[in-house]
Amino acid sequence: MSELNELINDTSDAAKSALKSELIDLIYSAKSESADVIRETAEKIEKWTTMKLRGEIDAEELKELIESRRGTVQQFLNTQEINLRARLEKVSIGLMDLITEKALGVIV
Amino acid sequence: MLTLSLRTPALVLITLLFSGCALFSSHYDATRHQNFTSLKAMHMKLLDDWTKGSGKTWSHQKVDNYCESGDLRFREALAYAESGDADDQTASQAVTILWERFTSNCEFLLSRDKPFSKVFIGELRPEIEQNYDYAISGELARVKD
Repeated sequence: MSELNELINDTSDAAKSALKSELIDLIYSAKSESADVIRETAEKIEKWTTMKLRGEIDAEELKELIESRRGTVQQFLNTQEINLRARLEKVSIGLMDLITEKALGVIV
Repeated sequence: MLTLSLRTPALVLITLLFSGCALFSSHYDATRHQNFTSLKAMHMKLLDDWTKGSGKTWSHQKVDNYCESGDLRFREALAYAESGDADDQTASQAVTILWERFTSNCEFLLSRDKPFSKVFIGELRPEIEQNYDYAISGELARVKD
């Protein structure tokens, strides 16, 4: 029993470490990608507003472009959520495999 | 003793499984992936065909018919996405966002009753394309069975 408990405790530490590492990686990549999208959005809005002021596009076209950008950002956020869920699932399955292997190693 | 020994790992597994049910997303689906690429091609064709200089003569009726047909394809894609999307709705959300753009572009064209200008489409087209590319990359990021 104590041997199994030790293994479970070890697994728990390894699991926490793996999860922490994966989440930190995810947060950094998400921050970087989000920063790119925010910067790109600001550049586009500035460009389109300038185009409107120059008469290259009209008010309706400007509105349609901004709404399209809103849709793109919404899609980006939805994709970020999919990425997060998929990575959490991969980590969790990896942890379950790890625990199962360790537990079976003791029991069998 | 063996029963007692099994209890701890079993508890850990059950906890992980149950927490996972709330967190996980639906898995990769080849049909859903194909729906995104097919809808993208259909939407891009609308933009390309109805831009000044495309060679097509403006026809309100033809645009209206194309938009109606596109609307049905989005409806089908959404119904399919919803059928396997009970956990988190991210797949149906992706289709809904694209559908809103398609509808908006159609309404824009029909309300102005003339093709898109080349300058305008030069800005709009990459935006719509990027939206589809995000949706497709989201599908590809899902866990594969």
